[in-house]
Amino acid sequence: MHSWAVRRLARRWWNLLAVLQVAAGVAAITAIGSTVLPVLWQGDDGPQILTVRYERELNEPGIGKVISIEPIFRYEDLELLKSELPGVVAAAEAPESAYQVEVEVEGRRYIVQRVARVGPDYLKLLGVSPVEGSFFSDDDFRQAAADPSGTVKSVVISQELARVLFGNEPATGKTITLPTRAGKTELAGAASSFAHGSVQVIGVVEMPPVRDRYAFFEVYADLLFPSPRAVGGSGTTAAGTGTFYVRAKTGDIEKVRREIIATLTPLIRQREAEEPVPGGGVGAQPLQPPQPPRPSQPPPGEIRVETPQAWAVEAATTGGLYLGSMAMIALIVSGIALFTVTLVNLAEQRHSIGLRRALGASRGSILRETVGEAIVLAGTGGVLGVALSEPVGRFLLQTLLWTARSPLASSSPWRLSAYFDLRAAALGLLLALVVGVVAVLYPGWESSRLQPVEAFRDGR
Amino acid sequence: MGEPLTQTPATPAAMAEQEKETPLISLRGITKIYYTTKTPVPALNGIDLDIQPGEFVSVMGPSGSGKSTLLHILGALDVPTRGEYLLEGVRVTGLPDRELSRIRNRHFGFVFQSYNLFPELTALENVEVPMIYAGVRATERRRRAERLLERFGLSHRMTHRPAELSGGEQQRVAIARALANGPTLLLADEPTGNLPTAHGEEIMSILQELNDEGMTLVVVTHDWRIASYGKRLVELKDGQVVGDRPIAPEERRLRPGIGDQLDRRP
Ligand SMILES: Nc1ncnc2c1ncn2[C@@H]1O[C@H](COP(=O)(O)OP(=O)(O)OP(=O)(O)O)[C@@H](O)[C@H]1O
Ligand SMILES: [Mg+2]
Repeated sequence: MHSWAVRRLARRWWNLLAVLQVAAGVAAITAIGSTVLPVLWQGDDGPQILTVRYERELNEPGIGKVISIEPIFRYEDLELLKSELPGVVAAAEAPESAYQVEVEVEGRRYIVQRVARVGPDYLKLLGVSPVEGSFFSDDDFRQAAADPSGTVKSVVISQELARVLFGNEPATGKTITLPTRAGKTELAGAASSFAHGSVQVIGVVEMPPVRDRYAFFEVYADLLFPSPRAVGGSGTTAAGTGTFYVRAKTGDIEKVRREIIATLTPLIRQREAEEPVPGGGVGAQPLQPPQPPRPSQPPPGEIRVETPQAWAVEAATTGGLYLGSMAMIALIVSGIALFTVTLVNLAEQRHSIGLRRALGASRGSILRETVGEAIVLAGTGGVLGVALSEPVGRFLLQTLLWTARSPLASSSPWRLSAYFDLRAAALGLLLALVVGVVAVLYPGWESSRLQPVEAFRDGR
Repeated sequence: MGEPLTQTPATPAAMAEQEKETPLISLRGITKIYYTTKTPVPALNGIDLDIQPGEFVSVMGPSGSGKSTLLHILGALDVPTRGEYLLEGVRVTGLPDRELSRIRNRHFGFVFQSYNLFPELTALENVEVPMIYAGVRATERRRRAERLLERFGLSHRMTHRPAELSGGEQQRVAIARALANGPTLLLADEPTGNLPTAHGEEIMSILQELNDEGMTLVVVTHDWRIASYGKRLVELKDGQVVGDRPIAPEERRLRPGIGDQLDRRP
């Protein structure tokens, strides 16, 4: 590819349009790929986390089959797993969370993405430990249990939030205020029962890297309160959710999975049998004659133990397919633009191509030149797109977080730059080149068919 | 750079024989019919023509008589509908594209009425283009292009674009480009058609000088004063050769000044 060809391209402004379109497509592919592909390609490096869930397939009249996730597990089940199964390091229910909670520090207001009431196993579950101060003590949990309406005045925060709220100063001992203005920041349900007024930071935790957050999708939070429900092991009430999390010892996660199912299934079957029959008072009594099963009698449920990774991979696959196909459409449109622009160039260059043919260019070298030009256009667009994907992605992310008034919005941009993946960039560039080559097949063939006399037609 | 297409004869005697008998160009029954319109247009109708090395052939004829068509076929820019074209005894008709391109590149130089330079390239780069397709190395290309432009008095115009050059200068660049690969035959179609008289005269004396050095030339024109620079006149009418005679030196002396604008274009 001779630099003269670049000069030829630069003379025609519409080539820039094709370059920009390819850049947009590649930027989209790279940005989406950068968020999706690392999850898909992570393999077994992720945290050894399992979600345990009880699912039942119900036949709802008029609707059809419905998967229902029911709260059937009890705290004692979690304790049982921890004591019986050596492969289980920690077990905890998903914390009760509130989103986008407003807080105030020294007169300035912030929005915290996620606030949660967590149990004693929380840090063990995440596999982290405090970097400053300490986590909640047993006393804190007992106090929370004694007064669930929220008089607990101690909180633990993430290092990220600490940085946003207090900069480089130690956060321990600092005061955070949760305003009580009605209607404004109070969120429905759980949020309203969180502590109000001033609370004190007793510890700072470095949360798992961004990369691993998907595994803690429901678990991760920036501002933590002690859960009133999680008084170590003695609770017998049903957990608030049908799902809980287990951290497995590094090693055979598949074995732990099977053991959990084997341990919990008999307990679940027993509870299903004790269940009140829908619409009919008390459940099955051993002394009464067995009642014929009604059509609405729920079938036995199933315990599903999965790695959140599987879930994340599924989410990334669906999301990636959806967003990725939109990005592909952008890239295909850029291919059409490239096709059009190459045809326009060809029409403009009939004379020039004829002249080159007259001066000794073979059909092959004209074809190479046309294809080369398209590759230069696609490649330039590709490189531009890759270069733009990261800053543009970061800008969009910052804007999104800023609009959501998230504390992350003001955190270091390096933190957010996690969303750039070299492999995704390579993929974007490769796709751009493929699109470029495909777009030029027909114009290239046409150009190589031009005869040398073309240079001297029309009285030239 | 025009390598002979023929096998080198074994003995000097055979070589001499061949030189005498093999014309540079030999056309037999060349017919060209354009099928681009609804009714086929016959442009050439059975042309027989031999051109010896070193000749300066002027081709004349009324507009539409097929002069340009003939030149395009001679330069392998176009293929005849029928007939046979031999270059140094080798059949050109029916050669594959790669071969034809190579022949155009090494054996022919083209000079046209509207110069046909690449507007985005400098004078120097324009002259380099044929050498690129001949695979000449960059430094050698540059050196040769500079020499050629110097020869035609363009040393101070080498990095100028065509738009920054006068018509005469552009045509001189075109001639330099036509000579880049040392062709065996120079083909010119109305080379002075777009030029004011003085510049036209300059171009013709360059062509004459080249012929004096041994270059074979075919110049198409309908202007007798241009044609009379040649040594042989081929006249076309309705796609047929209607006259083929030498141009006597005294005819050349008789030629009026090129400056006579009145009947430059009949
Ligand atoms: N591409 C083409 N398609 C159809 N007809 C053509 C084509 N090129 C030339 N012709 C016709 O062929 C005939 C010869 O054309 P040619 O250009 O060779 O004439 P010419 O002698 O060079 O004329 P002029 O002196 O006007 O340049 C003309 O009748 C012309 O209309
Ligand atoms: Mg003509």
